[in-house]
Amino acid sequence: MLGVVVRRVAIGVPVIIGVSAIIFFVLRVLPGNPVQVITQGAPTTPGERHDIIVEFGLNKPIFSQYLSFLGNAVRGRFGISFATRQPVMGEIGSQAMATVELAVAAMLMTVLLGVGLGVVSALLRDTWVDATIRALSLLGSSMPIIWTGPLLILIFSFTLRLFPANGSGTLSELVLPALSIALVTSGVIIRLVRSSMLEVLGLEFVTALRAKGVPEAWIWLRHILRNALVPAVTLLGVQLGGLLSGAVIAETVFGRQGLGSLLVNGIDEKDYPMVQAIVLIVATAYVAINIVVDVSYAYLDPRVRTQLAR
Amino acid sequence: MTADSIGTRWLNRSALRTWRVPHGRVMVVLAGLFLLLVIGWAAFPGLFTGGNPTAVNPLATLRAPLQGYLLGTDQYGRSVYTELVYGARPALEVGLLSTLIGGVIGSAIGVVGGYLGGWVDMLVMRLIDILLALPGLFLALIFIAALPPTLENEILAIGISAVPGFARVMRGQALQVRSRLFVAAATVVGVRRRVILWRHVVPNCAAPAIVLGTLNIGTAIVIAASLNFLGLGPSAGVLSWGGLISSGQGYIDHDWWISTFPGLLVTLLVIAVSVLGDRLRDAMEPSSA
Amino acid sequence: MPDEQLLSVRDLRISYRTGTGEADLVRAASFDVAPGEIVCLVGESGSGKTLTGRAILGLLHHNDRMRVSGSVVFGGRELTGLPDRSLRTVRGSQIAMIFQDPVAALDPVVRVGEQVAEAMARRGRRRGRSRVSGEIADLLRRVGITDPELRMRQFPHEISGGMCQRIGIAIALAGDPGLLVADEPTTALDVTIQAQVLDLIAELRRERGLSVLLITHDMGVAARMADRILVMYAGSIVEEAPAADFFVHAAHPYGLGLIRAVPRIDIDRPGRLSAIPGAVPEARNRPPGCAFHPRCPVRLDLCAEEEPAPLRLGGQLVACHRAADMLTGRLSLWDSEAPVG
Repeated sequence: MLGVVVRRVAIGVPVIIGVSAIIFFVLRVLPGNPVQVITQGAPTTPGERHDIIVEFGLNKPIFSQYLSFLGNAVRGRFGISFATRQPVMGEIGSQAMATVELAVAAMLMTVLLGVGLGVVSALLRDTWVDATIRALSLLGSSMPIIWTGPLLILIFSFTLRLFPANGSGTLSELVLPALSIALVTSGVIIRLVRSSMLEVLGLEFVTALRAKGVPEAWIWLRHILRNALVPAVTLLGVQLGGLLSGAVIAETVFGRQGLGSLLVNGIDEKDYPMVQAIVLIVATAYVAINIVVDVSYAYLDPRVRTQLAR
Repeated sequence: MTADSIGTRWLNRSALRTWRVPHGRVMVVLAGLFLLLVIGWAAFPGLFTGGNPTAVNPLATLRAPLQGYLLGTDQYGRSVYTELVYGARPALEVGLLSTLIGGVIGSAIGVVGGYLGGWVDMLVMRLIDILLALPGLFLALIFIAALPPTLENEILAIGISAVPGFARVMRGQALQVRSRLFVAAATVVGVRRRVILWRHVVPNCAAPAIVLGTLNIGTAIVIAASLNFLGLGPSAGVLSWGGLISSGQGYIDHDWWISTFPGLLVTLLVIAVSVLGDRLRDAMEPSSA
Repeated sequence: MPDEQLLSVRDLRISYRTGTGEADLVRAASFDVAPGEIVCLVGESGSGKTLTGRAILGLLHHNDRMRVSGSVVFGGRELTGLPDRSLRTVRGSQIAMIFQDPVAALDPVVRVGEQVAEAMARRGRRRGRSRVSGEIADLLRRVGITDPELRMRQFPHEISGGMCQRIGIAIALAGDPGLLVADEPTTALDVTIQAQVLDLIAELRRERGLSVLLITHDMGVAARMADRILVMYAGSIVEEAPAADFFVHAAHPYGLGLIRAVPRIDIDRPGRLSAIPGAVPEARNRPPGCAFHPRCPVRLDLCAEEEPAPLRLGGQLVACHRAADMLTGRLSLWDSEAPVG
């Protein structure tokens, strides 16, 4: 198992370096003058401009700028914000937790909704319950968060008064944003869990389990669900990308603090160090979590485990 | 490797069919009619509404639907229906053009990598891995951050974000075609690789690319609406459904229609496009049906 | 034939709903299994043997398109029509089953030991974990698995097919059943392993007085194991006979054909392997009269018109218009290449 982790990390590291290069060069090579951004268009003397160029290291060749960016990034230093002239990590550090909370909550809800409704759908296959769940899963995965967000606010905040419409900090403020993301990400999970459970249901070992008198509920929970979860976990890794994208939008929709709103602000203000830092951190987290997903996939499916151990 | 983990390989094999939406005859007809309507809006907005999407009317702000205006009015007294009709053109432009950009670049990269193999393919695979490490919105956001806020740049950014998806699928497709062609090609002495590429590989890869492209139009429209919602879209002069949802959000408690109708429109559009995409897949790949 | 029957199947009918109507997969099958008896249900694939075996355990309930009628009485208790909950008390602890593909019959993601434990736990005894695992180990050792403590922790794919079948047998024995339904238990195994598994089943019968309904298409297996033979063709039992009688003088042309289809080193010259021409008809296209008549070398015109009723001839029960002629040796088939009649 350790070998799997090591191998995945060994592949993940160059990927992250590649990501950092793309982020850096796209933001630097494409049009837009950093000095103007930093001074926010205010008139400057050539001397002031020179000072800024030296302060931000913009006078060095672009490739060596990249290397020092990368070197600093490894040590967790992402430079000085163009906008606030403070180290970007300070602000990121103070707001990262809010995003982590949101992502974890959204992930939990995705799993809960996806697996829960998927199981119900499979158990009650070809009934009206199943048809409703399937229709809702299609609807959910087709609805943009920018719409589900306001809709959830309308229903659960203004009409039912169950959860607050915005803010971050308390648990109840987490519910609606997480749900708005999970509605999108759980749709395919529902359908996948349903269809894999039905696929497993037709396998010989289910008959064998019945033949040895195992109760039907136990067959479904311990055996059919367990087998069906193997592909679902993989899909969860894929959905994580959508989940992180969703978090950026949900933070804005629900007026939450976090890396998403920080990123949107950074783009708005052309605060490149901030944008670089956040995108790189998110990509690293994404790759890391996918390594975890791959490993848990191996954990869930012993056949893969054996295959990897070779 | 993120692009080609064990899990994803499994998904490619078996689970993709569960991503399909119901695409029976009724659904296909409904989806087609709906899409035609939106295309009509985009092509001839004047035929569908007499109103002016930017005409502010202080005397008719925040009217509920059917009170003189089909879908009500927004806080400036503009007809929501008229705004939806006029928003169709930029939305479809983004959807189609960004898909075209992403589809052409991504397919080219994927097909060349898969067909040529060797170090070219290695390079392509690494590139796909790297781009896929930036999930959809984030790849687009880098380019949004770097470029001035115009509709063209929004199209470009969204198009680029579709590149890795196309590249990955098309690489797999090209690999498949190549393995089929390998024996035949070896016996046909003297046929140049370029000829094989254009005459055999590209046509064989076209069907999945078209299906993928259809499905991607929906995704692109959602991303565009989201960017506009976040205020990262074109700075001025472009009417957008996402912007309308955003401006309506502040009024959602009493004047729900401003956000709801554009949201519903985007949702229906996404569903319609997936229905048609799945129908296309059935038509083009009878084996996978 | 022993008077006290352990299992009595009467008029078992299994039909399948298709798009156009219902097709009978098994029609009016009746037979008994006595305590300690090994009964072999033989026939080509597609004749309905497996379905018959599964219907006995009520395993066809779960398929919405199957309909089962008739009577299955086990130990004096009627099983057909019992709800799933009651059937569960029968499955495993009174009637157990082993399967053709031993690897597919095990859950790939659950450890072998746990799958054996599941079959024991149901008997309602709460025991300590270590005692259970000790019992599992004993059981595995009993079915000839060396190093059971290691095997228990392994997954099905890490174990050979023969070993998996031993585990399947261990699972079947865990509930201490009176009847074992063994559905082609050796078909998927290597020849040497086949013999070991068959020996194990025979041994269990001797030691525990276990009754076995052995479903097989392999007449070699049947000859080696059976006390009594049931021949099934196109969903009907066409011949029932003590094994000793059957292999000496099968009374149904199909039964004889099955015996003749086995290659025998001592008799057959190379290239003279006799097999029955044609294939089992699909349930929807069942021929009129005797279902076997299109393939039968001794058919009469009558055979295409009237379905023969089962006829008792000595110890044998035969459904064939020519059974009497067959038994008196007036007919010989396949040996003389040209069909008679």
